[in-house]
Amino acid sequence: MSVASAAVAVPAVAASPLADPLPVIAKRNFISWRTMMFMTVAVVCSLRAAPTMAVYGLASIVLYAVPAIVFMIPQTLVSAELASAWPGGIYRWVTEAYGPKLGLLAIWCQYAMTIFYYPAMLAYVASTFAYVINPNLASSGLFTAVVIVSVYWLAVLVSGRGMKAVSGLSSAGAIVGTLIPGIVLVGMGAAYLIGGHASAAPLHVHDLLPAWAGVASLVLIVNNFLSYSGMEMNAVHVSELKDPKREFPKAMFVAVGIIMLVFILPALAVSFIVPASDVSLTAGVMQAFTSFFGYFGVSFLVSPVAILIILAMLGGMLAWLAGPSTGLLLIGREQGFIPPYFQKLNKRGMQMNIMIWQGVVTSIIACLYAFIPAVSNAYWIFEVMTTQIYLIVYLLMFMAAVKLRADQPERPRGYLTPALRWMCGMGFVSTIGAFAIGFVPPSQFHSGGTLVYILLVAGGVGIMGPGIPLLLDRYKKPHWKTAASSTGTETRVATTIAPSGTQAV
Amino acid sequence: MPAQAISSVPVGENPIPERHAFHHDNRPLMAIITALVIALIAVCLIAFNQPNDNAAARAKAVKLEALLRAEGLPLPTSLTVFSSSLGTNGGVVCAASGYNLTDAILNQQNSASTGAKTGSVLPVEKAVLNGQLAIIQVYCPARAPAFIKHFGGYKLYDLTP
Repeated sequence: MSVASAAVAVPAVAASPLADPLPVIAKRNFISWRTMMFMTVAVVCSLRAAPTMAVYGLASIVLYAVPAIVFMIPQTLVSAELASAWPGGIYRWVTEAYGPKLGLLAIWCQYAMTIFYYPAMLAYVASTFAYVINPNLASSGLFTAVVIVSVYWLAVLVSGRGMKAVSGLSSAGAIVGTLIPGIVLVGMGAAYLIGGHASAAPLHVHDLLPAWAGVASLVLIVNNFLSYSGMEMNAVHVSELKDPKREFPKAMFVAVGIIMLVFILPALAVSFIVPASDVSLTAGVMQAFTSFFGYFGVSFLVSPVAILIILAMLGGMLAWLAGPSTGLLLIGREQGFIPPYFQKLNKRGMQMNIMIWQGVVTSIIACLYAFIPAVSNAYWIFEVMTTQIYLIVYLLMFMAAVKLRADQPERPRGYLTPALRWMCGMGFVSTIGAFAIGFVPPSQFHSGGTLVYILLVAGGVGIMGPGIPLLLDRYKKPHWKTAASSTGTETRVATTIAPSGTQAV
Repeated sequence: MPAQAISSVPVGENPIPERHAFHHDNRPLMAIITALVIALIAVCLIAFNQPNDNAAARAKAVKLEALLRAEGLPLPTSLTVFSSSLGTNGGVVCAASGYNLTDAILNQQNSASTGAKTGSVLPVEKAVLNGQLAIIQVYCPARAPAFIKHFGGYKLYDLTP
């Protein structure tokens, strides 16, 4: 969580006639690699998944390991290489490889995923909170809407305090809300087995493999690819590291290990004690935790664990709030895709106007979700659409990595992905597989046949995915560019901030 | 720290130099949030209504175990797992079942019940859905028809080992 500070010699503003011509010493705040690592953990995983994956017992190891090998590792290695060479994250990598239009598509797809993510995630927070204070509140639209809207705006307020606050809180959320309760769960699970008790889930070698039920088994594995989405997201903050070329890959590699442990071990611990038939999803995963702690006679731990899990989810949300919106800001400033109003920063350099308008949209969606049964019942399909859109980011990232290695081999990289083409090929094929599975109608869909479902999802993906970037590109204005393009140059300087910071909102 | 001290960092290396224009202290924010979290935990510790694990709860747990066994669903190794979480009235499972929002959350959980941030398709587990139905049938049978009406049409899979 520490934020390293260092004295960095920087010349005075070169682009401003008002600049002090003498070099000055500025105290710049860096994010440490550990903070970046915990931010990545916060973005990718939480204990929320443990009870639901516990249903599969030992097979959860395979269900997490296979997607990790074919999707998370390529994603991690490739983004480590790209971030160690080009700061700015996904928009910059794709822009370098294929130009700003596809760069915009990439960052928009990452941003679009969050539009329907926040209300769903915060509704879950509301139901978890209701679980410990008054379960009847979980079915109250008013309670759910109030929690979603107030927590979201609180997060915007906190984000406005700057990246130091965001990184500190999200990494604190990962430690306090994921790692510590995770260690407690695993410790209790281990003590249970060591004490000679029988496990509720079978523990034979053949139980490592999930039961084969045709396409459904495949769907289960492929769906787990999405557990690892977001590894690349924090690359947008790579410039906040003191030595990005060395520190970002290090942060990513350590995060991979922690994420695997957090996903697998607590799920196993829960499976030892709570059978699949007692994992009540309606009551939220806290029901399983209640059974788990109840067995040990420490039911009082349910409340703190619920709050800590909420804390971890909010920490992850803070990182999601600051990440894609930063990418959108950067490409907007460099290419003029978004009006200057949305490019304005507060005095701490945060894109408040983007976050505020996203808050307005989130609040509207939250109210529709909470008060209109048809919307809440169909909400899952919006999440499916945005997941499909998010997968486009990975397709572009893997393609960009191969092209950049071929086009710019001389570009200094802090880390080189071994067998890059193979890695990207495996990641690309995995992503295509996940994308294809997204068009298979699930049990929840009763409103028509397979074709109707495919058309519905494809239509949503088309409108919310490429549709909006096409509009932004169509209506972009050259005079909306407020920063020099970083593509292809390292020598340009920021010209957008006046010496007195007059651009602050 | 004046802004001009920072803002000439090359764009390519530091795309948002404004973020470093001010050195700010976030300790007060951290202190407020820590206090808030501690207060929330305290409130929840007081408010959490833990189910009573007594003889009546045990009797209900025995009934549930019998029903699960008859349905061929997974069983716990100890009845305490049921009695401590479901009590005599089904606890939160019965409090939450049959309402639009909680059903919507169940749908979302079914579509994103792994670690995924957002939804995708996921086979709905027979053990999970039928397990919940069994709990409802034992502890709050009046709510069973609504549950069956909502989820009865689902295609279920058995992928548990």
